[in-house]
Order: sequence, then structure tokens, then C-alpha cells
Amino acid sequence: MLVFIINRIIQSMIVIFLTSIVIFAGIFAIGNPVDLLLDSRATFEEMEQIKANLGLDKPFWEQYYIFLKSSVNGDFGHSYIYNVPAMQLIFQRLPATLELAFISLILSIIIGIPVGVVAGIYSKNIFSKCVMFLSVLGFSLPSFWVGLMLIMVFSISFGWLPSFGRGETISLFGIEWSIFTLDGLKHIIMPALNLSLFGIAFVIRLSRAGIIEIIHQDYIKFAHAKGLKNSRVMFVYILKNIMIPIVTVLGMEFGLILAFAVVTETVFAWPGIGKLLIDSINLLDRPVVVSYIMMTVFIFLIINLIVDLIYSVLDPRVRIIIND
Amino acid sequence: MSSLNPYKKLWSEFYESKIAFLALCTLLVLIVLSLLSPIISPQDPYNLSDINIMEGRLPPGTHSERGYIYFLGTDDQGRDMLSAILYGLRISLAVGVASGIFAFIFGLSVGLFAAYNGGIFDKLIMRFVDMQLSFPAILIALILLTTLGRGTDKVIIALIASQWVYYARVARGTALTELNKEYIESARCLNLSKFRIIIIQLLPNCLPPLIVVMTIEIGHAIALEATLSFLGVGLPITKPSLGLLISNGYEYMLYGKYWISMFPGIALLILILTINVVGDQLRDILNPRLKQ
Repeated sequence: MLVFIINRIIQSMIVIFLTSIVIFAGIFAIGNPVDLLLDSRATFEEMEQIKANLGLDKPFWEQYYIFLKSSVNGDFGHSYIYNVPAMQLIFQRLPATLELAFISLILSIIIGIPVGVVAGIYSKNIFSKCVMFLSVLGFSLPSFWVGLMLIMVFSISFGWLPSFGRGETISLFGIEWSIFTLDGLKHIIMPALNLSLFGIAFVIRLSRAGIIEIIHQDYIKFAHAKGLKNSRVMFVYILKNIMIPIVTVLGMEFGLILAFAVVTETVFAWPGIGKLLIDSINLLDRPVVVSYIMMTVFIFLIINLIVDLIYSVLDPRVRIIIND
Repeated sequence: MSSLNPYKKLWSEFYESKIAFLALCTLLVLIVLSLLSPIISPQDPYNLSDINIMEGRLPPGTHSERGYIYFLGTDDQGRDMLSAILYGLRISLAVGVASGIFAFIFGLSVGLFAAYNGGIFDKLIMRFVDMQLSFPAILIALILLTTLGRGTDKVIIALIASQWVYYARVARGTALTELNKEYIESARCLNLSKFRIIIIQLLPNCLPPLIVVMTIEIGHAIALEATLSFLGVGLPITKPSLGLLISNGYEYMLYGKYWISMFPGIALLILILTINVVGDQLRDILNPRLKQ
């Protein structure tokens, strides 16, 4: 087990190193941020001056070396636009994204499991077929389009929900929260629903398939034959068993939600790190783009490691493979 | 039954699902429309002398000064939306199919060679594939495009890079089961060259599951391209795919001018949905485990 973890950590470090080279080389090659910072009347000396201030006059490898050295210390440089450390900017925006992501994850569980279970129990009737069709839609519809349609229906046609921003926030433990105010809650419903569509479809399919597989097993028949109440069979015998595959994919799903937050945040102008990324790309704000990517890759590697560990705890067969 | 032509059999099984058949017909109509777009669209939306900026943002059904009707309205530049959608459909399809074909070829070659050679090459490649599969395709495409910049070729590269792993994995898995079969053994006994065994014996037998993967992945590629273009990191504005058209109309939608975003969105939706339904049906037919 320990060998497995060490192996994975070494692998993760290789991935981070490779990503950093690819990103840095790519970012280095495109656009000159100096053109963006100064207006066209700036003299050549002023341009050279600002280049030297930002360290852009040094050769590629030296810039990369400085970048590597400082990024090990968690310093990804200052944002060209806001002139604050890029990492600080990202940590400022991170709570908004995490809040949205967690609400989406919760939504996909509390909507996905009941619907999937019912669709699994009545797998032959029309409700189940409709649910399956809707889950195909959830998988295949581009999420930005669904977001636009939500805005069109609920904000423009009915005028029930606001279409952009976080609304009123409340400060708790030093972090701003939207979910604890009514206005914030109104703002978060649509983006969270939009972001969770894929997750809902996924959980529905998993729990439906789980139910169909389990419901004809002997131990369920036996539980019924013993005269146990239906509710007890449902919650203790069936739900417990379908939860294993669902719990193991939650980590993967959380990763997907984080990645797609870029899309949802852009559609709903939600001030999280995804929107920050798109804005920074458009403004050629290199340090922010680089720190966003490094941060996301890092989060993903951690999520994947945790998922594998949980998997090996829940499923002894995986443990054997790992130990080999 | 066994003497029946396998393609005829495939077709008759495909036809069993009316929904899939309908989806296939719709998809074919869309492909034909996109191919014919320069001929059938009422206006060339990218010929500046053809569009009238004074007729911008007109609702659907308005008569233009030149005598035709804007069935789906016009955008902010005065382009006929119907024409723009037909042209956009063509671009979206072209990008999706091109990246699908290249990812197919690349993934197939890597997967087959990994399976046939085995050993350290196989291990390294599969380790890499597993690692990449743990990242969502959109994240990989996004990272690549932030570094490569905007452009049609770059979008296609990003799509290939984020999707080839799906082909490689399926190709390797199929090839490994095929390699255990007797015809490969007999080919080896005949001392045929490695290249010949892979191309002539192995490849054709690995194709069916890969065609399913390709159908579904082209659908994904089109959705991914639309998303990236919507975010402003995908295709350049000179190549307005359906995603870019939707993005252009986004701000007007907030003021009730729904048609600029809505109709390209519906076209995109139908395109992706029909591809997925066709792909699902193909998968059900070719996967004997699901048939029972």
C-alpha cells in the first residue's frame, strides 16, 4: 500500500513537471502582455523598462527556472492586470467555485439517487424510459446551451431568478457565502442546477443499473420472505449496496464539476476561478493563467489519489491488484 | 442466416429501432444540408456586399429589402440566421469529423502496436493513457488552447490530443482478445511479417467497436468545440461554427432577442443528439452482451 502511494506521488510529480513545461512554453510563445499594459503612445524606453520590471527580457530557460524556483515556494508571480500575487487572486475566487461545486454535487446526489432508484424498480414502465431518455440528454447536451436556456426561461420569460452574479453574500469563517442569504440562494440555484446536470444523469444511470442488478438477488428475496418491511429492505439491504459504486464515482464527478465550472461560471458570470481563467486568457494575464492551470492539475491529482485510496478500502479486489 | 451479408444484417438490426432510424435520417439530412450550404442558403453570410447592416436584429419572418424572408431572423450584423446556421453547421461538422478521423487513426495505431508488442512500450503507453483519462477532456483541451491560442488547426489539435486516448484504449483491449484467436496464430505460423499481420489480419477485426467509439466521440468533439468557441478560446471569429453563433447572440438574448442564440442552439442540439442516438444503437448492435 505504501509503495502504491509513493509510486503515485512520484507519478503525480512527473505530471506536474510536464504540465509546467508545456504551459510555460505555450504561454511564452503567445502574445506580448506589454502591448496590453501600455498604450500605443509609450516610448521604446518605457516598454523596455516595463519588460525589465516584469522579467520578460530574460531568455526562456532563465524565465522558466525563476518560475520553477518561485512556484515551489507557492509564488506564481503577480497578476499583470491587478498587480497582486496571482495565487492570492485565485484563492480569493476559489470559495465561490467550491461553493458552487459542492452544491452541484449535493444536487446530483439528492436528485439522482431517488429518481434512479424509482426508475430501477419500475424499469419496464414509461417513467423509467422517459428518465433514461432525459439522462441521455443530460450526457449529450452542451452544458453552456442548457445554461442559456435556463436563463431564458427563468430569468427572461418568467423573471423568477437573477441571471448573473453571486448576489448578497454573508461572511462566515472569513469566507463569503451565498447559500446563507435568500438573495444568494436565488443566485446559486440556476448555475448549480446547470453544473449538476451531468452528475444527475450519471447518478441516475448508476443507481438504476444497481437496483436492476440487486433487486433479483437471492438475499433480497430472502429478506422479503422473512417478512421484513419494504422500507427496511429498501434502505438497509438495497441502498447500502448501490451506494458503493456511487460513492466511488463521486470523486471523479467532483473533478468533472470543477472542470465544467469554467463553462457555467462564464454563462452565469459567477465570480469563481473559472471565470477568472477565461478573463485572464482574454487579457493575456499570464501569471494567473499559469497558476490556475497548475492549481487545477494539482487538485485533480489529489482527487484521483483519494479516489483510488477510497476504492481500495471499499473493494478488496482492488487492494490485491495494488499490492501486487 | 449466417450466409447473409454482414452489412445487410447490421442494417436490418439497425432498422429495428425506429428512433435510431429516424435519427440516422435526420443526421443524413443535416450532413447534406451542410454540404450544400453555399448553394441552398438564401444569402452568403460572410460576403459583406450581401448583408445589410441596417437590417440587424430583425425578428424571424421579417421581409428583407431584397425580397426574401428572414425565416429565422437576423443577427447584429444583419446576417440571415438561416444562412449563418447552414454555414455554421458545415464548420462544426467539419471540425468534429476531422478531429474524429485523426484521433481514430492515431489512437488505433498506438493501441494496436501497444497490444501487439506488449512489454515496456505497452506499459508506458497505457500508464500515460490512464493518467490522461483521469482528467476530463474539456480540461485538457482548455489547457492546450490557452497555450496554443485560437485557431481552427489548434482546435483540431486540442480535440485530437484530448480524445485519442479513448480510441487507443478500446483498440488495445480489442486487439488483445483478437490476438489470442487462432487466425492470428496461423498467420504467425505462416511467418507473415509483423506489419502484415497487424494491418491485414488484426486491423479489420478490431474495427467494429472502434467505429462505435468514433461515432460517439465525434458527437463529443462537436459539443466540445462548441463549448470552447462559446468560451472564446476555440475557433476564430472568421470561422463561425454553431458555438460561436450562439456566443454572438448571448448578450442580445438578455434583451429578449432570443433568435440569434436560440436557433443555432437548436441546430447544435439536433446534430449532437442524432449522432448520439445513432452511436448508441450501433453500440447495442455490435455488443453481443447487451443483446440478450
